[in-house]
Amino acid sequence: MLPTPENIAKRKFITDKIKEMLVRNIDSVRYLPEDLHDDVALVGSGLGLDSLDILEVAMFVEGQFGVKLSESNLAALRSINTLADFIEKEQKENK
Amino acid sequence: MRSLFLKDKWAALGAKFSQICGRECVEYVADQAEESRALRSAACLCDMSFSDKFFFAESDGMDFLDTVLAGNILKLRYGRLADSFLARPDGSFAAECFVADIDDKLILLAEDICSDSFVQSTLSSGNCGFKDISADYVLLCLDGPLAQKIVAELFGADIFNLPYLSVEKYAFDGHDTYLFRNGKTGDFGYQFLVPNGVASEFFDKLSGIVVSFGGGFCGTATQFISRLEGGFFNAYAEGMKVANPLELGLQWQIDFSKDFFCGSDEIFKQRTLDSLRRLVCLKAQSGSPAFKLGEKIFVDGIQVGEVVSCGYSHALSENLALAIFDKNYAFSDFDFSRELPGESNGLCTSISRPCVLAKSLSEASK
Repeated sequence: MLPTPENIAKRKFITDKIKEMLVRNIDSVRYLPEDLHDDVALVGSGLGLDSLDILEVAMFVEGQFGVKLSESNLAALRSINTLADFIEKEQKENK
Repeated sequence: MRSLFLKDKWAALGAKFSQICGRECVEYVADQAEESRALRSAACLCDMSFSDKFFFAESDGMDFLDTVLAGNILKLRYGRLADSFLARPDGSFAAECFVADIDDKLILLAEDICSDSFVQSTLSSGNCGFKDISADYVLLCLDGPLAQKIVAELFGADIFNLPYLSVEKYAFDGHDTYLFRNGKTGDFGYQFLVPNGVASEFFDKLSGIVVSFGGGFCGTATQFISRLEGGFFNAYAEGMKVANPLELGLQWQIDFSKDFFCGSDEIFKQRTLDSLRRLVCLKAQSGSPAFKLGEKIFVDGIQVGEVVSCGYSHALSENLALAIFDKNYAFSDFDFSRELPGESNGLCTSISRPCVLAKSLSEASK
């Protein structure tokens, strides 16, 4: 995909929304949204989210983007970027 | 140059040696494709003894390290590890530091990129039981989907209860050895801190188990490309090319609520700037040549990035790179132009990290 302003804005919208949610809803994420790198790990090293946090993220993704995370696609929760990839892919397939 | 204590063992395996920041390391052991296969399908043993290793008295060391490292060391609990970094007073990155609280002391493992003695002189300035054990202990790492089972074979099934970023002490031939769960490849990963007195016997026993599980041995080249694939920071690659910890994406290792740590004034100032660049992972277009360090990346003839780390991923069959990018273009899944020799041009695509789906994710549920 070409990095046109429109295409970049679309991707940035998704990653920005995820970051805003992490900072607003997850107590352990004590950063500004702009502190979060798109490749930062969500679990383990990185932001170190626990299982309740992950549930919160999954509920947010479904509410905000209309995309459902199930046990079979939990690998999408490895980083902000992998989650954004999953949301974009699901949105395209559901069109 | 600090030599590897187990050099003879590695030489017997056919290792090719190199050096990192004036310290000897194993660069390759076998063919890199074979090393990568072993790491991603079974487990691979690598010698990380070129890293610096220090002991501190637990009581005073915790307060002191909290004043120099970027993370919150005061929150570190017994048996756990904190992953943070040491910056120079000008805010530039100096060393990634794992701090472990175990056995009435703190153990600090430092991936130190400094060519001078900044890390040692800073850490020894606290007058809190500092001891440089770099030449007295070896540090081995074991990574791969079967690493957990291999370590259980060595130390017992208790190790299945060790969460990520934890540490435990085990006796080996009457000597204290330390096991850290702090892998950097995305697969199960452990480090072993072993005193020189039993290092040779420990290596023989561990490598025997590794081989019996179908694993192998690797050098830093495979260990480092696995960090890139796995989305982990590598002090010895991008850390040596990009000085700013915020541009390296290390914000998660910083406690911004702290009043002070070494380099904090400059890092806090940088945090307010809008001009920070970002690291982006790239894969080369099929058939185009490997990336080179310093290679420039373009959009419509305008430079937007520069390669700071690169290598061939056998796990993905792709040429990969990390490039430092203008933040307005630092997004995944876009095509960019490469600066290639002669008239030829090529494309590369920004991709999300981690790039590999580690087999350990499915192995863990078995």
